[in-house]
Amino acid sequence: MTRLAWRSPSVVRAAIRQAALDMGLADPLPIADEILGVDVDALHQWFAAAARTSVHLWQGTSRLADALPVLAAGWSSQAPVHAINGQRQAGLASREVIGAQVDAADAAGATLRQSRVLADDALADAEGAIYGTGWPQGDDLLRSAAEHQKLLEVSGAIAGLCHRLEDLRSRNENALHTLAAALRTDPRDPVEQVVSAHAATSASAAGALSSDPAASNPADIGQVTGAGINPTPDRANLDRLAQDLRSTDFAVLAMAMGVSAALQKARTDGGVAQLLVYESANSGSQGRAAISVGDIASADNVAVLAPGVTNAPVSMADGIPDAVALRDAAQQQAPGDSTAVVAWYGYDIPLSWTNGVPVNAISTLTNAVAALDDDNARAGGDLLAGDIEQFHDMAPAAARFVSVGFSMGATTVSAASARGARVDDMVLLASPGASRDVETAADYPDLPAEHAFVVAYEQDAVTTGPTDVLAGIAGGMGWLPSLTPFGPDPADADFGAQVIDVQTNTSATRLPEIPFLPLSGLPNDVLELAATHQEANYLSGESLAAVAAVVNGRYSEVPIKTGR
Amino acid sequence: METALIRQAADVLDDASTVLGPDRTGGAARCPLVEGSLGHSALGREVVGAANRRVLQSIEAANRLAGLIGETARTLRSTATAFEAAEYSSIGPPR
Repeated sequence: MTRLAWRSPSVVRAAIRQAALDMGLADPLPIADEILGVDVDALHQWFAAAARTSVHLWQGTSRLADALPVLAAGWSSQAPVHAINGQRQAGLASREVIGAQVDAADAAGATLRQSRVLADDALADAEGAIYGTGWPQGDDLLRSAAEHQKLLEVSGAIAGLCHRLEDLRSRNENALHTLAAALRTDPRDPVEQVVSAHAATSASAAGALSSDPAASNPADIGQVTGAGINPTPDRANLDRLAQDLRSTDFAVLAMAMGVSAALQKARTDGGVAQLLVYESANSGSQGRAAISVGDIASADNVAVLAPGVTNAPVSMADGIPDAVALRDAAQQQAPGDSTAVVAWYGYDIPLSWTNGVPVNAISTLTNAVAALDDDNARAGGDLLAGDIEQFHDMAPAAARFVSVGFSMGATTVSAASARGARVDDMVLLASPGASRDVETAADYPDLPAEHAFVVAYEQDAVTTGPTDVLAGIAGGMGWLPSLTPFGPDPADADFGAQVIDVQTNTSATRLPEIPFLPLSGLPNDVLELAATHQEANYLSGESLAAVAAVVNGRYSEVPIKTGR
Repeated sequence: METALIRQAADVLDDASTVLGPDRTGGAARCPLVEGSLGHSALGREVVGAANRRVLQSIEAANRLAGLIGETARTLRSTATAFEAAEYSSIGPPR
């Protein structure tokens, strides 16, 4: 192998790229960049960090093993020995999980490192072969090769390079797939099982030992056993809700009853329900509420779901099934990970008066006009970013956060990301626009464009330009209308988000159209829109599976297409 | 029941708890992998996210186990103390 450092690599690589494209092959340079750009040292550092924990677990469980014979000699009862042995087994099982992940990372690192070397060699070999033909820099490579009867050598070198790089990329993908599979097991699971069993045993023992009825209170049991009681994240909100349920103000009482019904539905359908946000309604506001389906305090993934226009906290029970469906789908996809989905009714939702508590005339009018632009969504973005910050305090430190919004809720979610909402991923469903806070997906300060996902069915007119124009004209009566009152279309290729490749789950019954009659197709368009633009339509079927994959961080299972 | 041996076992448990606790394992590990470390493909991003999460969770697992073991050690000592007290009261003080 001869390296010709005195020649310009950029010139010969540009010639290779052009020749490959002329030969109908894929451009090999991005593939080479991808292989060469992998930070194998960072993976090695990760390996070292994980391996350290594995060693600590080994040392700790060895100490536990040392304690067993001493305890057995000192206490004839087998119960304490069994308990400590259970802890040792949990530590060993956790170590086994980490060990498998460390081994997979080690193997992946070796493959990635080797691929880097081999890709570098393949590039150098191809460059050397091209220079060896006497190619004058700057000339068209294939034409020059043909003129000098070197076409076979040059085309062979380029085809060989492309094939080699594709092969190396495929090897890397296989190694990463194996690593991804190993990383799907949570090392905490064995320990959590023994901790839960211990807590249950302690509580029952304390209850049985105490003759004082007060000890049946979980808080008292906690004091007796010394076990930590998880602070209920929604205690204060539940107290406020209970207070509102005794209110004589109709709006306050109605909202409280609606939220209470939603909590009950979430408990029935989802097992655990927590009231994470609660602000009373009044004569000028629908109030704010957020219910977590699933325990946020122990969740591996937290999805925050923002609804679209016409929804209101008083009727949020209607939105709970979508939250339950998303949680179920996420947990079915990743059985080892727990997911909490927060139904977030935390912004001044346009047209909420249609399903909300009665408010005064000025509020109703303002709320109706709000549907014509993104003002409420942008104000809601501030609130959502703040609420997500609070949710982080309630969730485990390593929990993934994903914001999901439907329709105007998607605009709100996007506006929250524009304000630096702390999320790992964002999913915009049926968005009329990404808000006027951003022009492209690169404008989110703390969210890389690769983590902004969009679902927009082709049949859904709300996601396309005409809706913007209509809203802009209506909203701009008397003033200059805005053609993008909700901001840019996030499903547009130029926006730069990840557009999810899924099809609608519904199709409208079509009415016969009368040829040559203007607007005769309008009823069908309206029927199609009504059937397609539904939150449940975006949170079912293959779209639901894709959103669940984002919630789990399983990006390789999210089908992506080029934007429109 | 040999309370001296029980206390000795509790000491060993304390040692195990220290090895697994935040002082040794680190309360929060630095995550060396960042966006793009393993390429910008969906798979590369997925692995980075999962790897960083798992390394934190493995430390959390060790720390939780440390807490549980520490609690068990305290329970053993309390039991030993309670047993000694019971034994002392049943025998009675020396005359």
